Amino acid sequence: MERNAPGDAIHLAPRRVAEATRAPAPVRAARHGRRGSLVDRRRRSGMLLTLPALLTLAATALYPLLWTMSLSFQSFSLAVGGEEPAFAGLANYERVLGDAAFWTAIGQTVGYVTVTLTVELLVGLPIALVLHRETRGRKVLRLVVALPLMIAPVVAAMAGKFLFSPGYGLVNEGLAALGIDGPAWFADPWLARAAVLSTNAWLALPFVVLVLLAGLANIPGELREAAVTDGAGRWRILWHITLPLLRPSILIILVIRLADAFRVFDAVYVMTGGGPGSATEVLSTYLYRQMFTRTDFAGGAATSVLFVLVIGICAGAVFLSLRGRRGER
Amino acid sequence: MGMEAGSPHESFYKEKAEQFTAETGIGVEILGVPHDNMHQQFLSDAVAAGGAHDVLMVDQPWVAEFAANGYLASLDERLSDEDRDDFIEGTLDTVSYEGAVYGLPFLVHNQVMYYRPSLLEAAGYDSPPATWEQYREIAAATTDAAAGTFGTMIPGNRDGEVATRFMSYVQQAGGDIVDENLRPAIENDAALEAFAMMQQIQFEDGSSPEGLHDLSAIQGQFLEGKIAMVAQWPYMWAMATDPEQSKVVDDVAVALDPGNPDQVATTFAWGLGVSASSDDQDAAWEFVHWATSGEVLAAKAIEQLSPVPRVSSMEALAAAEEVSEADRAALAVFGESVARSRTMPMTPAFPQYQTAIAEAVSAVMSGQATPEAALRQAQSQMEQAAG
Repeated sequence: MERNAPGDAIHLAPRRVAEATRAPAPVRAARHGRRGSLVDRRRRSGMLLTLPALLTLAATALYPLLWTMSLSFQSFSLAVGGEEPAFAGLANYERVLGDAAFWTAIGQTVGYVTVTLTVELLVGLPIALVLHRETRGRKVLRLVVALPLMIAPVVAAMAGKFLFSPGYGLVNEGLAALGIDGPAWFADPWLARAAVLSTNAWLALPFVVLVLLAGLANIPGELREAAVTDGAGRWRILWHITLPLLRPSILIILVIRLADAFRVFDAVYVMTGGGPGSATEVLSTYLYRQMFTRTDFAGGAATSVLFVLVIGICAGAVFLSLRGRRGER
Repeated sequence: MGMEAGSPHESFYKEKAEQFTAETGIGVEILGVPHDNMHQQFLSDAVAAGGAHDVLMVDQPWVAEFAANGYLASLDERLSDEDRDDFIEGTLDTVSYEGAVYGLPFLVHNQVMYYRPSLLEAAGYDSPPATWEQYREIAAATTDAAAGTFGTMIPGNRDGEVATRFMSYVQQAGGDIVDENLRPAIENDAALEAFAMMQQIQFEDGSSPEGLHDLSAIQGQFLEGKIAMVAQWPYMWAMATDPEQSKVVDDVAVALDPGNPDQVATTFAWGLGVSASSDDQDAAWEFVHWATSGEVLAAKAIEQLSPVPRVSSMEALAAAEEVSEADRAALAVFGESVARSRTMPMTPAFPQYQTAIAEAVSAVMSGQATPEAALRQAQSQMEQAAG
């Protein structure tokens, strides 16, 4: 019996290699052919299955976007039998960018988005950490936290308006019980902004908490146990383990909530109407007035395109910044 | 037909539509549209020329805009001289643009002063104020901030209703927001006097609760019995005298708004118009004509205790046995207030004027701008809107 030296299985004689590879060759080729066609078929059926959704998306999102872009470069009259649409170049953009109210709205919107996202994360994280712990009544608390998700934004805005009302609002009643003279919330620019922001943050908090809870559930318990064994305290665990591993969840929250916060409308329209003065005017309410009070549809289209660009740039910057850091680790 | 959802007009016409169908064989479907969405929805429908509504319930500020853009059909040739004569003088002006009639009004009204006689008497006044000076004095005398009762409420929220209130103040001081050619002219002494009066009552006297008030807050606080005098539309009379909605049922009266010196208030109207994109304008006209006829408007006035713009209807109202003496007195005030006042400027840019004025009032009443600066900015915005 021929003994194989170590490595024989690898270093085979050329004849044996040829035999070994020649015999199954047709079979392997056939297998490749079948696999290829299977992949192709799967790809085709996948495309067919997603085609209705893609077509729907194109009809409801892409087409209106392209149409809006087209309108933004035209001048036309809304009157029956009025001026036919004509190419207007950048005239609509010049008009919008030359309007001081647009810059007020854009500045206030960016400020609102920045503060609201910060507040939501700063408030949502401790709530998520508490709800993640194995404590009694956790399920009930999770349900309570999720309740605002079921409320329509306009209803929440109406409730907010009553809550912050100086004459009969619950907020000032509560402050009075503590011996504090409640302010006229909607008569002061900063307090009006705070009232709008807190109403919207209350609505968005359940989403933030639920995403963070899902992220916390994905952090392996062994990491925390190892850190505890190594003598790490709560803050070090939070800072060096929990937060870095929550980064994907925070990224999801930032990208989704950023676009959502930019579109804030209900709370501003119902609670302050953009006032006092124009202290709470945001891009959505500016756009609404431009379209339906000024009936400037071409200017409104230009504002919409600028609006999409601003959201896209901000969301892209957040996405790339957090994604880049993840890659660095 | 598109009507304001939840309004008394919608419920009245929904109830009466069957009668119209029985008389003419024309079916009517009334589609409720929330007040805040009416302008946007009617505008979108008109731009698309979809003909979703044959008849539109139009607020007066939209009439000129819709007429100028060709969204409303002219009713000039359809309206007979007999009909024209039956409309109270000036009321057809509220639905006219550049000399042609684009709708028929079913309500022409303005704000009057609601007050609580017992509070005024307790403060030593046996009649409501006729001038701003008296108004300010009585408001201060009837204020008891510690008890949570105030003499009046000065509006300041950034909305269209507050803008219309400010327009009334300007007219009461002998001015207007436009000149005789309907060009913006809000930077005037009357507007400054209006702001001075509002600021004195709100900030110097403290006779109005803290905050930027809107119409619904003013209405709610008065019906709760916390305010001695407020300016409101005639529709509040039915609410104020209804025990289920009001705590001041036995202590409420109405008077003309105080003036400086003119006791007037800008009039506004609601009407019915025929959509230019309707494919059955004859049937639409027939309904509009019937719904604003003397008989139907008389029934509406008696049921809702509100003024209507037809002479024959008001005569029927005066003769109606079911109307109490108090109601009759209130209706007389509503009628006189409209008769001595003038209407809003009929220009397509009016909605933008309203927005500019609302922002100015809100800025001044929140202390963000001086009256001079706010009026200058409003004037500039209005001029831009006028083109």
